[in-house]
This record gives sequence, C-alpha cells and structure tokens, in this order.
Amino acid sequence: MSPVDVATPDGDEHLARRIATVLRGGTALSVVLLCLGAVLGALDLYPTLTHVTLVAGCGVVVLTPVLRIVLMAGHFARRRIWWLAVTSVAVLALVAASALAGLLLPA
Amino acid sequence: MTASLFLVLFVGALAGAALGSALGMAGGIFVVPLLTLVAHVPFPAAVAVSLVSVIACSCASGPKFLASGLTNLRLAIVLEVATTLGALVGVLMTDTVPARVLYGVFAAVLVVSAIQMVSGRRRAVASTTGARSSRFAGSFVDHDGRSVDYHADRVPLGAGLMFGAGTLSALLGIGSGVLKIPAMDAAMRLPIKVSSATANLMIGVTACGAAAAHLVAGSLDLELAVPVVLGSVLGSVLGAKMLVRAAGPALRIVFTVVLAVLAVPMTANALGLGGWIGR
Repeated sequence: MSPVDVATPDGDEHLARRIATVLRGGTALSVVLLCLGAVLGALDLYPTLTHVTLVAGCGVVVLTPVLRIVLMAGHFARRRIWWLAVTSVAVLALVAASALAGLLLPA
Repeated sequence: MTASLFLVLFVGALAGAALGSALGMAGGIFVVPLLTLVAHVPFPAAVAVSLVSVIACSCASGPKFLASGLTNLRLAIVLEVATTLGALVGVLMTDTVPARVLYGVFAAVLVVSAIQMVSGRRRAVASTTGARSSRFAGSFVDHDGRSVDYHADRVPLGAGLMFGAGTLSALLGIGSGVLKIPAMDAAMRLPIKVSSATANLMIGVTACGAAAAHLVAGSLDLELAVPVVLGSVLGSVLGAKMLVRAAGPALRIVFTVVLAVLAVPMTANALGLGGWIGR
C-alpha cells in the first residue's frame, strides 16, 4: 500500500472545501433560476423564456453533482492517485449513460 | 398551476425535507406520495420530480457534512460506481415495470424505513475479522472532541447493496436510505455519523443520472418541480439547523407514523383499490 493511497486529512480536506463551494454555488444558482422561472410563469408573458429558465434551473441541479465528480477526478489525477481518478471517470461515464438512456424513455 | 397547489407542494416538500434532513435522510420518500396522493400526478411523473428534489436536498445539506469532516470522499466515489450502475439499470427498467408494482415496492420501502426508524441505527463495532480496507480509512472529531479512527469493512458487500439502492432510486425517485443505511452501518460497519454524511453526498450522484434521463426525455414536469425543489432546498437547510434541536425520540415517532400512514394509500394503489386517491 502506497502512503499516498491512505486518506490524508489535509489533501481530502482541501477537496472537501472545494466540493462544498461547488454544492453551495450550484444550489444557489438553481434556486435563483427556479424562482425567476416561477415569477415569469406567473406573469405568463414570456413562455419560451420561462421554459428555458426552468430547464436551466433543473439542469443546474442535475449538473452540480456531476461537477463535483469532475472536481474529484481532477484532484486525484493531480495527486497521481490513478485508481481513484479512473473510478471518478467511470462514475461520470455511468451518469452520462443514464442520461443518454433518457432518449429511450417516453416523453 | 394554482397558487394553492403551489403552496401545498412547497410546504409539503419543505416539511418532508426538513424532517428527513434532521434524521439523516433525503425527503424523496415523502415527495412521491405528496405528488401522487395530493396532486394526483402519475407515478412516473412524480418520480421524475422527486429525483430532482433529492439531488437538491443532497446539494443543500452536503456542505454541512463536508465542513465537519464526516464525509469519506474516497469511499463515496467507489460506492458511487455501484449506485450509478444500479441507477442506469433502474432507468432502463423504468418503462417496463407496471405502476402498480412500483406502488407496491414503494409501500414496502415505507414500511421497512419505518421499522428501521423504530429499531434505531446500529452502532458500528470495530471488527477484528473480515476484509478491512485501509484504502478507506478515515477519522473524524466527535462531539466530545475525541478523534475517532475507523475503517470500512466488507466493501464489496456494501457495493452490492448500493447497486440495489441505485436501482430503487431511479425507479422510485427516492434517496434509498432504506438500503444505504444497512449497507454502511451493518455491512461496512462505519460509524453512524460517517455513514450518514457519506450517504447524503452519494444520493445526489445516484439520482442525477436518472434525473438527467427524464430531463433529456422531456418527461420532467417543470411546473411541478419548482415548488417541490424550492421547498426541499429550504427544508434541508432548516432541518439541519432547527429540527436537530428537537427531541430525537419525538422526531423518530413522527417520522415513523408518517411513513406508516403513507404506506396505506400506496398499498391500496398497488392493489388497485385506489380509485378515490391519486394514481
């Protein structure tokens, strides 16, 4: 077992802080977009803009955990913990596969 | 959508997320019954909205756990291979499982969750036998200032349960705490705080693949998603700050009663007896 494989509090603490920032930012942005979409929907003046805003809001919610995985992949790659970097990429691939499987779902 | 329905969904999602957050779970287990029984939304549409709310809950409450040092990021990413694979299988099964079967499975999940809540979480005991993985070793500072070291046991078994959790999540629109909790507490013998924090982070990724599938398919009802997601975010934040100060046993009783009550109409729908309630 390589020493670098052992969870080092300092290394993972830094990653944890960055992830927390991403989660907070993604949550805040999605809330803003959804609130904006709700107001636009209530006004019923700009249906296309309303739809785009709501899609963007839900999209940000869905993409925030994805961005978290991207951060982790980059972190482990920079620290040359390759097995965790590859694992992170595998998770991203599975999430992408699920999203593509949506093309098979009925609308 | 009427203003009254918006308010009902917002408050319902807020309450569910707050209660769930205070007890270490996402609110998805309340959102699907809220949408199907109160708003009379078809089960697949309710699942799609609930998946987005589950992700929002996870993201809203995640920073708290990350700041406390309780989340085992390395274990999370490994287990997420299993949960996302399970979620992919769940997405592929989505259109093949009859709605009545899904109602029945959901009712079973409600009952099992209620039983788990009554019986309480198993305290992890340090294992001297079995496969202990030092790759996922970690430590955290407990509330009394004491540093607690731990290892993860039987990771393959935990991963197997996580696969099931991922499938359930995609099919039912929940965070699957009913499987994640025994996977991490009993199978991997993690400290309760670590398993709660790590599972909370994992819920977001588990659900995001299935949620993305619904977004791509155009089957996510955006109007319904707004009050549910906003209520869930606010509830997750409030639950962590406020309800945790309430009496723990009282919260467990409320949670258990609500789960048991919700199981009744869900079971009725599964048996085809739910003509007077939402399908």
